Amino acid sequence: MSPMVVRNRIREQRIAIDGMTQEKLAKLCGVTRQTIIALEAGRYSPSLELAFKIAHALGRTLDEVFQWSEEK
Amino acid sequence: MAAVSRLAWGVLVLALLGALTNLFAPQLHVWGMNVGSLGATVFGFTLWVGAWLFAQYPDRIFSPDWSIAERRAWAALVFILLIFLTWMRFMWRLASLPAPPAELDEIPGDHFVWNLTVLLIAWAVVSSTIRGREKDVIEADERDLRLRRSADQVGDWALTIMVFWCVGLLVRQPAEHLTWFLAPLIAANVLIGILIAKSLAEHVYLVARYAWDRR
Repeated sequence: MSPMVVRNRIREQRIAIDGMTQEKLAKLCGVTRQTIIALEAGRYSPSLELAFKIAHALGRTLDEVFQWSEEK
Repeated sequence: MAAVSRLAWGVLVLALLGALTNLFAPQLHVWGMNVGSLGATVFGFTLWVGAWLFAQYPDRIFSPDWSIAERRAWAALVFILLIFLTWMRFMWRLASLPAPPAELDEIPGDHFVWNLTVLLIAWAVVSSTIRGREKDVIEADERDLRLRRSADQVGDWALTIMVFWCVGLLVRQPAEHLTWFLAPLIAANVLIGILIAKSLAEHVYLVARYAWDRR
């Protein structure tokens, strides 16, 4: 069985909201823009609290933004 | 890269060259000039020029892609490296004494204390100006703290390795050298050096992780 990884759809859902910038999302979630960049590139798995903040800022539920799936 | 950024890196390279020259060639004379003293002067001058550059242009020295925590990690790495070089120079002087100092008064530490004070003040100035003039800026978030924790673990491993290395070194020393190493003031300074090296290892790892995450 392949190892499980956290994937996300932050980038596409952020852009879907009137092209929200990484900077704006970062401010809404109380993190740096570099953390949003790392999240979108799949290089960082957020804490549960940050995951909820991001989903809330994007107006989505947690599982619409984050998925736990097998590594390809 | 902005001109200011290039100038800052140039100043940094000069400061390191000055510190290294002062460390490894303190008595060397070239064309009647004392290279060690020249290195010390260059080091002192570039340190203050560097601190002034950071104070004047905090947002132009580093790339905008670098978070405040990453910028601070870089500044810390540079200053810890300079402190480590200063400490090495100090230990070099201690090793050249005919006998290990038995009392604090016997330690030729004037330059060391002065350099250390200057470096710590410059580090504090640079660290406070890195934040920039922007309000509501996030200085460190959960990712920064997570990286910091990983760096702490690397530092702990580095400390463990260095302690075992020192024990191995002591065991293999002939008796006459052992007396020098085990003199209380020498041992105390070696311990301080180990702590500086631990911090250096932490920050090397930290900046490498930030760079790796941005690739």
